[in-house]
Amino acid sequence: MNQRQHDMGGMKAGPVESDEHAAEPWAKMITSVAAALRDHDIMRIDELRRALEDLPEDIYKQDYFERWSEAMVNLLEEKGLLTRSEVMGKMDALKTQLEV
Amino acid sequence: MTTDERGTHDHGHDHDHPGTTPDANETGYYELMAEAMKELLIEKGVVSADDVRRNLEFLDSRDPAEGARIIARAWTDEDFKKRLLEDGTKAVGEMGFPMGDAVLIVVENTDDVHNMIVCTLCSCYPRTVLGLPPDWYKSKSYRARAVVEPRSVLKEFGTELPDDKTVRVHDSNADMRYLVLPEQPEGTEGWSAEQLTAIVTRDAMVGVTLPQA
Repeated sequence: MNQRQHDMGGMKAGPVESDEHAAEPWAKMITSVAAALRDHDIMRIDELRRALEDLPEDIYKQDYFERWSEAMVNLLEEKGLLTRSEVMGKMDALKTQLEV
Repeated sequence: MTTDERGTHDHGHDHDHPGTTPDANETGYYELMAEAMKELLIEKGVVSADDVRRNLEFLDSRDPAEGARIIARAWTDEDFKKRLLEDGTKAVGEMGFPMGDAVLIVVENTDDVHNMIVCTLCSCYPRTVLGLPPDWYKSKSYRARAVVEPRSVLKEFGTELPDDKTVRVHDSNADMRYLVLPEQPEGTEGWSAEQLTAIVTRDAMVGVTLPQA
């Protein structure tokens, strides 16, 4: 049976590591953006789930909220609300602001 | 890089180790991506800054202590417990916890049955009553193994159950969230709801540990 990357039940994996850290502020921020999109019925939870499941394997392996960011960019681009290159451009602009 | 490091590293030239994606290893890359996305959505009028702020405030107000209040009430109010097990969504709604689009199913631990929750497909979690999930809940190890070797996973949390106790693992999804109603520990009979709230932990409500008096 071909098990997709997100369908983890029964996969081989090591011990559960119990050390944890509090959610970083940006992780809470992205969660809140997702919730605001849901409030406006622009993005439903199942759509985000599908976008997450469709990520390339090397991206899916990344941290939870990193994965979320990538999936949301893809989904919002698919919906015609923004493009990945707009996001990249904005990232460069923000970086320049931070460096000044 | 110092000569010593180079020696133990066995390289002899400077280079980046292969990562998952090129830019993604840069510190703050995703933080920047998230901020960029938020600003674009606000500029385009898709959401407002106020929408995001309100959701952030709600998220910040969520905490496992909320879930603990629900459990303590179930332990001290038989009628509420009955309603909670019959229709979790409605019963927590009574206490002012909106489940949104998701249904909440409360599963009760008994002398014979222990319940634990997981989300093998993503990391669905009853955030409204427990806050954001801990890192381990989202890890591949927990998601992959909870459904096939729950007793081994429980041992890693220091929880050893008798062999004759049934372990039920509940796999959540986007529309359906679970909460474990632990057994009230012996020696806490007659405690007030406030006292009981203090001993109900997040992990006990996920079903990976047992509350201790």
